[in-house]
Amino acid sequence: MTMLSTEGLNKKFGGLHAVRDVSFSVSAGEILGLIGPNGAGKTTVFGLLSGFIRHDAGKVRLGGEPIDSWSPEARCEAGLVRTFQIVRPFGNITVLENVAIGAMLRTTSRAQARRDAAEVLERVGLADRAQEIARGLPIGIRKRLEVAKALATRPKVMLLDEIMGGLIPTEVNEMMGLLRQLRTDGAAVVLIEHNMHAVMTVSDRVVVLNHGAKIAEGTAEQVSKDSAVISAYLGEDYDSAQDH
Amino acid sequence: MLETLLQLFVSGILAGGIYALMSVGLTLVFGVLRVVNFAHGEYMMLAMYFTFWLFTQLSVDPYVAILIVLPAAWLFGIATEWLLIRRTLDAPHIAQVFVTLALSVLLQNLALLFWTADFRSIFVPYASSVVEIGPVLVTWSRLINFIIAIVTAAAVGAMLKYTYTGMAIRATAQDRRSARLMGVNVDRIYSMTFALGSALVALAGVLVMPLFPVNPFSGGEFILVAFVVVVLGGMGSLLGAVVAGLAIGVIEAFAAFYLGSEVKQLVYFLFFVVVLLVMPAGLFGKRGAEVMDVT
Amino acid sequence: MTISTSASATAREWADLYWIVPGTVACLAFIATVRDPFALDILVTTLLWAAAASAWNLSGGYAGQLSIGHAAYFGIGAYTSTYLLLIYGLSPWIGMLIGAALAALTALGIGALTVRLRGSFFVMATLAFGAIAHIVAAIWRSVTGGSNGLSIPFEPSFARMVFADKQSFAILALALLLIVVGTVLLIERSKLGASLVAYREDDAAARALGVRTLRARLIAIMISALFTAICGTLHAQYTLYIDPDSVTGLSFSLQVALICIVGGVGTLSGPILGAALIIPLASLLRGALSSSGSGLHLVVYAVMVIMVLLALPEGIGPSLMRRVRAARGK
Repeated sequence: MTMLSTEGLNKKFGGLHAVRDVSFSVSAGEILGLIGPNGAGKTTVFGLLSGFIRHDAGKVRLGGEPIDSWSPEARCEAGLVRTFQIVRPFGNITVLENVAIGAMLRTTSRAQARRDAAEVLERVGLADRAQEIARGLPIGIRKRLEVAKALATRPKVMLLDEIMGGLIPTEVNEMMGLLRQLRTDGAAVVLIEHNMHAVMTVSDRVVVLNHGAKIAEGTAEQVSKDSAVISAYLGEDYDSAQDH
Repeated sequence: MLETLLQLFVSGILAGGIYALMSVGLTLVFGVLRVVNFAHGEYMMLAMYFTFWLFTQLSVDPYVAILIVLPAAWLFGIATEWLLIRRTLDAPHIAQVFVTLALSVLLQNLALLFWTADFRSIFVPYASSVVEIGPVLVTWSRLINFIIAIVTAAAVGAMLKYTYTGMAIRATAQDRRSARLMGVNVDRIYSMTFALGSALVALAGVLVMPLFPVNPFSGGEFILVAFVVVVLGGMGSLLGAVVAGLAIGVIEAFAAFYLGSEVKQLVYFLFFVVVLLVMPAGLFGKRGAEVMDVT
Repeated sequence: MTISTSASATAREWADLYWIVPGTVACLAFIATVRDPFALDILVTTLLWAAAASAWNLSGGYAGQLSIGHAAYFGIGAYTSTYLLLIYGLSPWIGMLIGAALAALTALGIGALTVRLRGSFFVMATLAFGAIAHIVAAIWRSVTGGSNGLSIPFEPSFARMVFADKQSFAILALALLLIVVGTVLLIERSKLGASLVAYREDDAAARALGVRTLRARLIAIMISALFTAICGTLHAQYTLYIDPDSVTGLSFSLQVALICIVGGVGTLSGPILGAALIIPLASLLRGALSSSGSGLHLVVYAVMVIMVLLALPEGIGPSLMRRVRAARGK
């Protein structure tokens, strides 16, 4: 079942055509990798999908319903949540309270929200950090906190922006395990990731963006053999893409 | 009728020159340090008192007093930057805002302590001598003040554009981290910028002393005008401050003439609110400084 | 490892009662035993400022919307009830509610207008609104009496909210403070409180989690204005005289904020601690230093605030708590 789809998405910033005619969809129980060289427009696409940036043209549907005019809050309430590439923890409150703010979306009781948040923290392996103040945590922890906050809203669709950046290999493996579990639970996941190994391993399907346009779509194996994709990465930072 | 309009316009422009000078320092400090100095008006008030004191105690002519008051204001700026501002640059926003607000309360009440709440003014004979330019009458001192204000603002602009220090200031305003990496001594730039801002507003204070009486709360009124000007011009924009200063001068002159001097303040505050709401980045400001970045 | 959310959280839920109950009892004991009018005056003033600062704290502290224009709401409260009393003989008990409603509506308007402004821009906008209120109070003479102000005749009666003894007023001020603190406590524990904190910490991140930050901010500023206006009415009824400087002046707006900052912004006890420290000190300073010229007490006060801001930027309460916790070894 298609959970989230876009048709002919376009966005211009002044003279820069940041996103041009991008269409794709993601289904329940599917992980879609969104890759492309730096500046390809991946994060802008997330901004458009989550409602923080207004698109100039195109359609976004969530569960079949057009949501183009919806605010970010309304989209989240309907089950579409995003994380930020540069993580945005609520700095002066505890990890548990951070996640509880996400959980407040589904309950009016603070106590219930805390219990839900505690459960989510168990799932992402942050239970022992629950009472720490979010500001000043190491980057690996903050990345997981970002995912935990999003998870606490009980989303149907998750837009995850570089959640593995800065993680050590064992943490990356844990994160991939978490993603697979989300897939089993029936969530639709769109994943922006620079860690090529991780995104190619975990994604069911991959969409490749370059200069704001979709240049390839298919399984990891298909796109990695695609000549347009190879030249896009060669033109930019083939080496760094290979490094990961 | 036409003569009245012309007269009002010219008076407004001349007053606007001083507003521009008051605001240039405020906008510069905001542009570079990202701090709004809520005590900016008190610096002007202190400069006015200093001028008053020099004139009454030592018979120093206000225009000569510039040579004494400006260096003093410069030092005072360096001292406040070092004592207060620098310590709050990385502090929560609330500390940053309220440290300068508390400073303004402090300076106001120190002034109250030393000089009482009475209005003080000085009389120089040439302040009221008039020159005719076509159908328009202006006083010499206002005309000279205007010229000094505009020349000073232009000089600051040229300094920022063409000197090494000016370029370092602009680089720091753009991106303090990169500037530091490029070898700019950011702390020194902050100190200098704040001192320059203090000296500029002090100059405005010296220039208006023969025209307006001063009391400890004069700064509070001037700062409100300066805020209107700086926001209208775009926070951090030098040219914006000058253009907006002149515009506010003209608006005020017309409002005072047609609506009465009590209502004129109301008019430019309403104008201020409208500007904040309709174009919060001002005329020449960079968009986005006023609102949260969202990607 | 499991996270204890039940037992310790419940203990935390009620922790505030450990100071609210003894504090209330102490105030009542003070009111019952002390007869010195100067001491009672300090108590009433402290309670009123604590209530006004708690009201400011709701939008200024929890939501981080640093307003220096709250005098507008204080003035609306004071002038509305006083005008209705003087012209129509309406009881201030009712006038107080009308003023509160007007202030809340004004706050909704100002809140909606300033919705996009952040940081220093928001501060400057509130400064402008406060200045507008002051100018209006000064020039709308038919209602406000202009700079002559309005005097309420001293005719003690419950309906006129004028009392012959200071004790009655102290009880009234204490009741108001308890209502404000109770409201803030409920909000702090509610979804609204969480939304305000989330907004303060990071608006975009909050909205990404479905938090309706705009609605939360508007509700907070309306409740804040409502209580500020009620404090305005009580102030008018207590001093029996209001003029533009005393009820719409910038000094009111600064003082409520500074009380919160000194005590601990965004905490329930902060405004009360701040008021309990600052107001008696200010009264005593004013008394002790009045001979050496007006303004000296405010000089001392400003220096103190600057020192707190530089040395204990979280406020005295939270900083002390932290030290105590550190001393106990966490």
